[in-house]
Amino acid sequence: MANKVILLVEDNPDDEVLTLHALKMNHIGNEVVVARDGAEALDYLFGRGEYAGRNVNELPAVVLLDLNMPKVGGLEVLRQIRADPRTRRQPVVILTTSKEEQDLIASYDLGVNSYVRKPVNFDQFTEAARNLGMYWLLLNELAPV
Amino acid sequence: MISVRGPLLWALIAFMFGCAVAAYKGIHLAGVQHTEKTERFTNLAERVVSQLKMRMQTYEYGLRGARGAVITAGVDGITREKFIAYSQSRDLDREFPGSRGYGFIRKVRPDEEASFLQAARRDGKPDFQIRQLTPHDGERLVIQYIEPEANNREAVGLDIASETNRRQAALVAMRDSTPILTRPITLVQASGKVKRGFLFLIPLYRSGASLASPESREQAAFGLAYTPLIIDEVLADFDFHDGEFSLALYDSDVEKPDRFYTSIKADAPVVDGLLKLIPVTLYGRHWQVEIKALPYFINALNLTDPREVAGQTAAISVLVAILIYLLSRERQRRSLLAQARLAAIVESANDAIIGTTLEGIITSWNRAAEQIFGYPAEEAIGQALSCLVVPSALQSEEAEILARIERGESVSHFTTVWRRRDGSDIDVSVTISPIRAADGRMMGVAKTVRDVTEQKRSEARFRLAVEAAPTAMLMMDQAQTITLANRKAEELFGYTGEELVGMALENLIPARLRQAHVGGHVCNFLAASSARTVDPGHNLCGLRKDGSEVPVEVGLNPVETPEGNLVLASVADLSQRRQLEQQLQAALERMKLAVDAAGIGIWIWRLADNHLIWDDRMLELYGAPKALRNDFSYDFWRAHVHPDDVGYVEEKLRQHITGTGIYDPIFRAIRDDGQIRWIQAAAIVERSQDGQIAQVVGINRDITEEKEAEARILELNTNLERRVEERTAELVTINRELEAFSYSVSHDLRAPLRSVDGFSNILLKSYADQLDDAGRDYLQRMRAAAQRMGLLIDDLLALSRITRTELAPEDLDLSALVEEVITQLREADPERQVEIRIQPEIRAWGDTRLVRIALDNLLGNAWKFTSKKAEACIEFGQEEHESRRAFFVRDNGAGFDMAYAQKLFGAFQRLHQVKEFPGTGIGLATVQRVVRKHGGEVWATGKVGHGAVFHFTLNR
Repeated sequence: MANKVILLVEDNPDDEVLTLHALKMNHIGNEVVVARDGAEALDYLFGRGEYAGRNVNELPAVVLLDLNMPKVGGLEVLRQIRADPRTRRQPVVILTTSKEEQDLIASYDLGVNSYVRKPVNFDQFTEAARNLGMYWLLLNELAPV
Repeated sequence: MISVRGPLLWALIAFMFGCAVAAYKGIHLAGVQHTEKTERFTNLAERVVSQLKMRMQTYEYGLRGARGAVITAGVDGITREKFIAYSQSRDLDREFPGSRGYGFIRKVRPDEEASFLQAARRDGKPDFQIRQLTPHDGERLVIQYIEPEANNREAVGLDIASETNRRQAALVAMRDSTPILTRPITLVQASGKVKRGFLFLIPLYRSGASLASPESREQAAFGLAYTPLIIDEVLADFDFHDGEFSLALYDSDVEKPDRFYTSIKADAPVVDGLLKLIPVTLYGRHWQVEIKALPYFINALNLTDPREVAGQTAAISVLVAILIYLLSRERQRRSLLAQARLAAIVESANDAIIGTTLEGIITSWNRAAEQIFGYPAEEAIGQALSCLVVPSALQSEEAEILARIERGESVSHFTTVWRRRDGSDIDVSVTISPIRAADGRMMGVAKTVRDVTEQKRSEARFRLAVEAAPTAMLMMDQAQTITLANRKAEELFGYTGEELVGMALENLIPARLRQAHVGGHVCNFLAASSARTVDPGHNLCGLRKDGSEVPVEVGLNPVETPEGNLVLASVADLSQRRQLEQQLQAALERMKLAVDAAGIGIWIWRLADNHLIWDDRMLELYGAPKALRNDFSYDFWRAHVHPDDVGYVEEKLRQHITGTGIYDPIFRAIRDDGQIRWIQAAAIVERSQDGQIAQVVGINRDITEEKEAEARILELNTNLERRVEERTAELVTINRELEAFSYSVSHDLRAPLRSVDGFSNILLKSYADQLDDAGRDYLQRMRAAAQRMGLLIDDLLALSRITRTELAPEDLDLSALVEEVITQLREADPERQVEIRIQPEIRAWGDTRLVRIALDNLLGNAWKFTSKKAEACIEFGQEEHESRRAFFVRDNGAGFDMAYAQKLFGAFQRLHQVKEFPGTGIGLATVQRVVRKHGGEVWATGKVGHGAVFHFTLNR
């Protein structure tokens, strides 16, 4: 697990920096691949476009997925992940600012593994990042490929 | 049978007796002949005396009658004319055979003589003179009247006091108050009969004078009634048994008895010593009656040879028997027949028939009398009727009636109350008829007594029925006098019953109607005498005592009563009916007013000729010229109905007539001027007596204006709906935009904040050594501001989410919700010691999630603002507030100034420093929004330092 990547799907550069910082603060050393929108995330996962030729069987340890993104939104990304046999067991954690009910419900309906709201307070955000890393990278067992 | 058998029986008895006597005599005649003769003679003598006495008695009755006539007229009121009238009322020859007449002798003092003469001469006798047999100076006793005068002319004017015998007798009569005979005298009017006449006198006294002593009686006497008698005339028809005996009369008051009468053969020799001298006291005189048997008496006794006697007697007996039979058969037959019939009638009568003497002593008492009064005849006869059956209270009435009869007055019949043997009273009607002797003298009276108890009871029942009648009842006699009136009549006319009875009917009729009423109706009725109603429908009026009039209806009924035919009138008070008629009239007028005011036209459609009658309003509605008024037909109307409506209206009309529907159409009428009017119609069917529909009567009402107003309202409503739809669409759009806005707020506003906080944090942590204290403080402030703004955004989102959320109300257990909230608060702040009081079982109707948010805020506030209290207390409950159920959250925390109470519920409004009590100022705005969404209200009361109470209601 330690060598597995973390796919961070985040369109906000500030949030990207802060998230990476928070991960670093928690000494999470896994490679973080950042997709700046949903399309890019899907390209990565399915070895297309920029990531053509990538071994799609090497799935990330966890996908940290924002919802509100230009082009392809987070929920659509989630839907396609679950729709594809190759990625359907991929752990996906929604990491978003939204606390809207409809987003929560839609996410779980599409089979998300976890839903984390980004707190404004960075201390809390850091804490959340630490918990996420601890859980998904150390405790959680992935399904066999 | 009896009448035939009587004489036959007697004849047989006589015959058998004769035979027996003959046989007996044949053996014992010699021994008994003397005794026989003596006994029979004695009997004969006694009969003679008795006969004589009876004859004299009849004159006494005559005297009393004459006296009565004078007394009735009065001492100063008696006139010749009256006395003659009285005398003529008597049949002297028949009633008093042998009397020369009856007269009046007036006592005249010598000093009164002149005035008496004057008066006597004025009294129908101009040549009246006083004649005296012997002159004297004493009081005169002048024969003023003697009737019939023809036989007694010489006696008129004679002063009987002028002769001793007459004066003495008159004096005795006056002093002893008794009828008196004079000694035998020679009457002036029959001077040939020397000392063979008498005066029979009875005194007359002034009424009211004392009669205590002989002297006072003499004083009180003002004269005498008298009758002059001649003994030969008195005894002219005396029964001498065909000459069996002779008779002589002596006046024995003198030493040598004075023989004043002798019959034929009075001086013949005595036969077989059969002579009787019998003293008789008669009206103050002592007479001796001398009776001598004559040979015929002996012969009649048949005292011949005893040996032949048997045979002869037997033979005679046969003859006598036959003779008796033949002689008496016819007379007895007749009398017995009459008597038997009479007796049978009397005995079988239903009415008590009681015979009495003039003195009231009962002489006969029939079976009905026994039954009615309970006394058997044996007990009743001989008693005074008044003592037996007349109650003591009515004795005087009885006495008066007797007196009237005695005075010769007529008493036909009367109703009174008598008493039975058992003491009970009985209503009787008594009819009185005089009993006269064969000679016409009144010997007594017969009273026919009828038990009228039942009749009285019927009368009482009739009165009760009349009294109980629901209408006024009046009974009138033929003279139209009211004889009976019930209480209703008293009420109707305002008179008391006593006033009404005896009143003339016309007093109850207004003067203007009297002639027609009394003269007409009642008279006609009395003539027709059958029940009927007087002029129903005419305005009959009654007149009350107070002069007011009352409309009445009168029914008349004939009533037959023993008193004659009466009329029973029932009088019904019509004032109430009249009032109802007036009310009906008023109601009709009011209805007409209403019909006019409502603009309703009335039409009548006669089915027989299809004719239509319209009132003025109908003409106006259809714009028809008034000239047409009565010239409509059904087709005229039909032509004015809108072509689109005519089918529907006619169908409605048809259904109404056939009874399958109701005619209540609304249709359009087209007027001749082209205007269209909306008409609302209704109708009723009127049937003739045989049930056929005669006509249809209906109304039309112009509802054009209503229709137009209705159309305008309809249009307005349509517009309104369209506008509402438009607005709703706008709102939906706005809502959608708002949602989008909220979403972007949620995401897009928070992200920069996170950057601010996140990078400030990184600077503080990773670059702290490059900043001084002020720099670090500023970064801290940036972070606080960013975090605070994050909270604000969260709360604003929550608020907007409440607005957007659809309400899903359900039954809530508020107490349990409060419990949950408190539990969470305690968990979040476990060090706090707060006393919580929650009323159990408080339920409400609301959206669980929203109410929970409201309670979170209210209880959170209470928890927060009591944080500085040593003994914090939070209470939840419900109470009545202005007749609504209000829930409340009360705390004893910091409280607030009521001056700011209105501001509490605005968004971002805070009454405390954030440093003191943290918060965004949106909580109570959220509470208010939740409550209002439920249709409730929230309000707060409080005082700085003394806590606050938040009330809220749900579901108005």
